[in-house]
Amino acid sequence: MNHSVVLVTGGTKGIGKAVTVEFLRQGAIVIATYASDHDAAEQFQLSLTPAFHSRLWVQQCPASDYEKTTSLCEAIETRWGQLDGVVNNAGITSDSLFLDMEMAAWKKVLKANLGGAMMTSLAAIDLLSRNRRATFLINISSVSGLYGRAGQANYATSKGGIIGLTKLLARQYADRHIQINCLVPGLIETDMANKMPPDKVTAVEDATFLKRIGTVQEVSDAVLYLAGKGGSYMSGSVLCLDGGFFK
Amino acid sequence: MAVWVLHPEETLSMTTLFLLNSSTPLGQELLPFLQTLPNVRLQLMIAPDLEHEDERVVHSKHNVFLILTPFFDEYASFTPAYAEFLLDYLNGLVAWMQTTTRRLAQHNQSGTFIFFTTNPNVRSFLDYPISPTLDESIHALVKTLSKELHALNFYFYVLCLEPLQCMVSDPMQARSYKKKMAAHAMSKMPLKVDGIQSIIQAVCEGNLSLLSGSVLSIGVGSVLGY
Repeated sequence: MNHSVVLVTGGTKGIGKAVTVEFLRQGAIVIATYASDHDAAEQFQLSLTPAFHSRLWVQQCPASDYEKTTSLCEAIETRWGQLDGVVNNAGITSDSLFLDMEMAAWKKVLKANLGGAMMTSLAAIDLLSRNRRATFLINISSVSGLYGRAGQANYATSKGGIIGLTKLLARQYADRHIQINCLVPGLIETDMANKMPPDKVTAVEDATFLKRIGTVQEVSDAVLYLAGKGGSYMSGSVLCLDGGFFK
Repeated sequence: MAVWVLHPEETLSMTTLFLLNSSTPLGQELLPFLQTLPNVRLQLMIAPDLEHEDERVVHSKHNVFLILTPFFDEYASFTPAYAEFLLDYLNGLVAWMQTTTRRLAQHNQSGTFIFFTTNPNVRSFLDYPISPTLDESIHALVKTLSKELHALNFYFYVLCLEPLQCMVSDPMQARSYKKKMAAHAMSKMPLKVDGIQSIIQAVCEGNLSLLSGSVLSIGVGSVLGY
C-alpha cells in the first residue's frame, strides 16, 4: 500500500476511521471524507500521530453528492495523479419500525448509504480505470442487507442495494483491473453500536457463534485483505465478517 | 403467534388482487390469467400512487399485491441520473407500501406482497439485462418487512425471475435472448409467463404464508448456472 492513494468515504468516524488509520499505517495516502460532522473530523485529525498528517487529506464531501465527489476526484488526480482505491464506507442509521418510520428518515438513510455508494463509485470509477496498476473498490454493506433486520427497513434496503451494486460494478468494469468486492460486517463496536440499548447488543452477541460483536480493527484488516493480494482473484464477492451471526 | 392460513375457497371469495405497474409488458402478459382467477377482485394500478389511495378503499379481509418492479438494464444505463431515479423509485414504492400497510393494519386486514424481480446473481446471466442494485434492495426490504410485520398477518415474497422474453422490448433482441435463455435453463426451455401462474395462484390462496420472506428463484434451474 506504500504511496497508494485511497479514498475512504465516511473516513473520520467508526469503521471508516479505523480503515483510514490502517491504510495510513500501511504507507498509503488517504483522502478521508465526511458529510457534516466537523467536530468528529477535527478530533480524528488531532488524535493521529503527526507522522500521518502529511499523508492524510480530510475533506467534507457527502458521498451522495455526485458533483462534489467528482470535483474531489479531479482534485485527487491533480494532486497525486492517480487513485488506487475506494472504500465506500459512508453510512448512517435511523431505526424505527416500518409502520412508524418517517419518510424523511427513510429517504435520508437510503440517500446517504446507497446513494453515497452509487454516486462515489460513478464519480471515481474513471479515475480508477486510468490507473495502470490494479486498483480496488470495496463496498461496505451489512448483515442487515443480507438477511434483513426488523426496525431497519431503510438501512437494510440500502445495504442490500450495495450488495447488488457490487455485483453490477464487478461485471461492468471487469476488464479494467479493478478489484470490486463487498464486505458485510455484523455488529461492530462503534459509536453506532454504543448507542444501541445494551440488551439489543447482548441479543446480537447471543445470536453469534463467537458470542461477541466485531471490532473495527477486524473490519479494517478485512478491507486491507480485499484491497491487497488477497482480493486479486475476487470479483463481485460478498465477504461476511459477522462472527457467525445467524439471525 | 397465530399464522393465518386461509382455506382456498374462503380465500378466493375474500381476496382483492392488486396488480401494480400493470402496464408493464409482464403485467400485460399476466393480465388474462389474473382475470380468470375465480372470486378474485382485480384492481390494476399503473404505478405506486398515493394521491388516489383514498379512492382505493380495501374491502377484502385478505389483499394480495403483485408488484411488478420495472425491469431496467443497469448494465447499460448505470449513470448518476439512473442512481437518482432508483432512489426515487424506492422512495415512491415504500411510501405507497407504508400507507397501504398502515391502512390495512388499522382495519385488521391482512396483506400479501409479491415482488417480481430478476436474479441479481449476475454471474449466471452474463449477457442479459440485469438490475442487481434494485433487486438486492428489494430482497433486503422483503426480508426485513417479513420479519417485522409477520405478527400483523403481512406476508412478503420475491419471485426472482430469470429473464423473460417479455421483459425485452426490442423484438430482434428478444429473438437472440430466447436462445441464450434456453441454453441456461436445465430443461433447455426458457421460462414463460404461464410457468409462474401456478405460483401466483398458490400465493393468492394463502398457501405459502409460511414461506414469507423468501426470495424464490423461478427459472428452471438457470440460477444454478453451468
